[in-house]
Amino acid sequence: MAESATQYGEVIFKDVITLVRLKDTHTVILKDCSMTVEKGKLTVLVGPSGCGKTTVINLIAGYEVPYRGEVLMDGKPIAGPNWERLVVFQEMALFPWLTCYENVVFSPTVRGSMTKEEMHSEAMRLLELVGLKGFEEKYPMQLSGGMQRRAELARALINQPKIMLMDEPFRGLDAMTRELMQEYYLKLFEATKSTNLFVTSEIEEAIFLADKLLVMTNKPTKIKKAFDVDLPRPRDWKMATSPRYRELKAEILELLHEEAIKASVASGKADVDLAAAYERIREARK
Amino acid sequence: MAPEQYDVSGVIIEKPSAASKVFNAKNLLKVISIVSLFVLWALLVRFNVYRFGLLPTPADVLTWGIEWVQGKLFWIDVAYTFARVWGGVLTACLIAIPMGLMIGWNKVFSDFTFPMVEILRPIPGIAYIPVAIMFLPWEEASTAFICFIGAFFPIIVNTITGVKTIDRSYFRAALCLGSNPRQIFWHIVVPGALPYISTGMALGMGIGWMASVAGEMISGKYGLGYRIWESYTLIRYPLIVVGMICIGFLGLASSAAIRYATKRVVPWRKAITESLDESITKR
Amino acid sequence: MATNAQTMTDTSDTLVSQTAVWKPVVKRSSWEQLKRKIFALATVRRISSVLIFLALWTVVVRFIPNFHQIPPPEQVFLAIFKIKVSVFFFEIFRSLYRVLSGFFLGILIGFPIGVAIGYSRILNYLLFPAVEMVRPIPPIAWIPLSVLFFVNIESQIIFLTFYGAFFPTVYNTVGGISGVDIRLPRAGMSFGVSKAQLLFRIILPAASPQIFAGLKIAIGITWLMVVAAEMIASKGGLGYLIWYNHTVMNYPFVFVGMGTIGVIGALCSVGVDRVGKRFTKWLDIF
Repeated sequence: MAESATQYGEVIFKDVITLVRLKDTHTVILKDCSMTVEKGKLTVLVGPSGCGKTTVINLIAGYEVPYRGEVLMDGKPIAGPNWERLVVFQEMALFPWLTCYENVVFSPTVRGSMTKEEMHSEAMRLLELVGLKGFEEKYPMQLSGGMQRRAELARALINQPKIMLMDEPFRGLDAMTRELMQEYYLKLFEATKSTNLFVTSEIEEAIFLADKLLVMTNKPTKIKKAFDVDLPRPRDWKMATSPRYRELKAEILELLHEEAIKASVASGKADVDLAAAYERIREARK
Repeated sequence: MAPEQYDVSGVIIEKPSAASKVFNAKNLLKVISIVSLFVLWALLVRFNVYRFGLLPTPADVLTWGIEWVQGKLFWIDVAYTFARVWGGVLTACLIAIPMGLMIGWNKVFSDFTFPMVEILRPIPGIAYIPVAIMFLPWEEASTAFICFIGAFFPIIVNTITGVKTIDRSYFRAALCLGSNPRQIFWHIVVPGALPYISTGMALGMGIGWMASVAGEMISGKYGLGYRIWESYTLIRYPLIVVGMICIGFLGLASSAAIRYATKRVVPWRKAITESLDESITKR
Repeated sequence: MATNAQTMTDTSDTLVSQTAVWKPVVKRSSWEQLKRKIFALATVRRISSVLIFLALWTVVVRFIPNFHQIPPPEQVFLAIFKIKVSVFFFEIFRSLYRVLSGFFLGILIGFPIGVAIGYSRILNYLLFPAVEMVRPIPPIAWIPLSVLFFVNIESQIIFLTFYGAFFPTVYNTVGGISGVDIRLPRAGMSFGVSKAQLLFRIILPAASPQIFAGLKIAIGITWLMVVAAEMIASKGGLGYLIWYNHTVMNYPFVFVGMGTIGVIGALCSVGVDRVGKRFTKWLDIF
């Protein structure tokens, strides 16, 4: 399984332009965006909020089509949603009317790709792998946030997709759970070695997880810079103090800071000097 | 007629022309929908499918309608029904809104009043017709009373829900800032419940119009509902449909009027939906 | 029982005090709890609510001239015992039969139309405008036309009840389907559902809470229509009983009838609610 997974899942963006239409106005989200998601690696997209990271995921998953440009997977244009490209969303997208187990076996059942016995054994194996053994009969609303994410991972993994798309999946979890989930996820990745694309706005998370790190600009978005994160695998949080880590973090912070300034200038938000304003009020009161 | 082009962040986008916004497939289908309704109606009556021959055709309804609307009697009818519905519904607002606010606000009051409201709520307004006749010999009032009952319960239920769904943090914030209960009531509870109150009022108005038909079947000499019943007995069938359409239209217009009026009083609701749109495009 | 945290908070029970006062948690035996519940101030108040209403009723009937024709509560109460039970229940079942026929007919026709409008764009544009045009006309206004059209009085009544159930069903079905979180069908498509599976396995279960809410409204309106139609058509049923007793000036029974209508209407609503809860038990398992 590990060998075949690394053969597939390469995604290439060629000069992609996407639009969002709201009534009469159009907003350009991605513009002349070109990038490559290499097979067998964990690529991380980092960028400011609202810069179109979710759009990238939607394009690869097949939920959206680009206005111009091409999105190719393994050389062929992406035609629509498919089990080869599965997404783990930010907020729970488990089917709330199905139990955990039923959610996990949903795709094989619907596609008819496995026999009942295969499905059952594989599902149980995955549930145990993600640490949800004993929770098969629970409904998603009965699970905690972290458990829901893990169930979603199991639901996706049972299909052995060619590329796993993670759209800020650990956002909204508390710090402890988040750290555990990151380690968890890395273990899964290192076991399957399939192509993964992970989107996040947390720099530390990005560096910790990534093989390749792509920094995005503001709208209209393109890739600002690509990094090779050559920290050794398997990763460990102790690496957070290594010099290479700190280098990367400093550089990325600066890039994002640049973008943040550009964004606030562009949106014309008033630059309020709070301290000066406070002083003025105090003077007026006297 | 080349499509306009404009530039957004350096991307040339073709803008749909104004004409194409009106004359497109979507609108065509909608027009087909409405037209085929009338065509189907006309055909069923024309070819006397089952007993459709007894019903008036759209053409009949139109001709009778145009003539009728120009008559004096029609406007008297409209005025009577209007007065009854708006009278009943506004009275319901005047009683139900304060009552609902108190029930949501004060547990003692709620315990003394809400059980009776809940017990009486399932009884439909129609069932009150005999009661209305019993104690309101004056015809206008009995129809207005049925409208009142019809509108009362949706308004009070929505008002109570509106109070109950106010985020408790607002109360805590107000207490921290030093408000007394009276100030909290007027400045937090009342505005906070307004969105639900306005929904309830629009709903109540719609139900009030429906109830007016029931009320007018028992009483009076005037009114749109009464005219419908009379048209049946006088075998002026097209007028039945004219009356139905008028009631439907005026009911819609009244509900819309209430929603419009309350939108001006609840401006922050619009702001919430606008920023929601923005956040959707950002993601 | 006199001085404890519970009664202390009861005396100043505005919303303010409910958020601001801390109630201590004390363990009590279940018998104690039951005693507390029965003698709780809240329950006493609720019962007195009904008593106050009855008292007001008696006073108003006695002293206000307009209300002289209305019987006082005692007469209404006594009238309960004068009912001919067999006749009474027969008419109730008659009304119920009509309610249920109309209700199920309304669902049978309204539900597929609602699904069509909510699910398919084309059918939406083709059907929805026509439905919207007819909707503002109040169901009761259809009574003269239905009397004209249907020879059989039973058919008239069932048509009217069907009409009452139709619009809420259609509207809430459309609302439920269009309100489904878009990520769920997207996930489903990625998992490889066919078009039919998408509808039955994902969209309908996701929309079911709102659909059942619509059914609850529908049965309320259906019941209302039955009563109205029966009052006019004079062919048996609860509505007819009330009207008949009104014409023979047996006013106490009119009130008994009203009460019965209320009770049965409430029971129908609760019944539909229960059925709905059974199908959406995954919702409120918190």
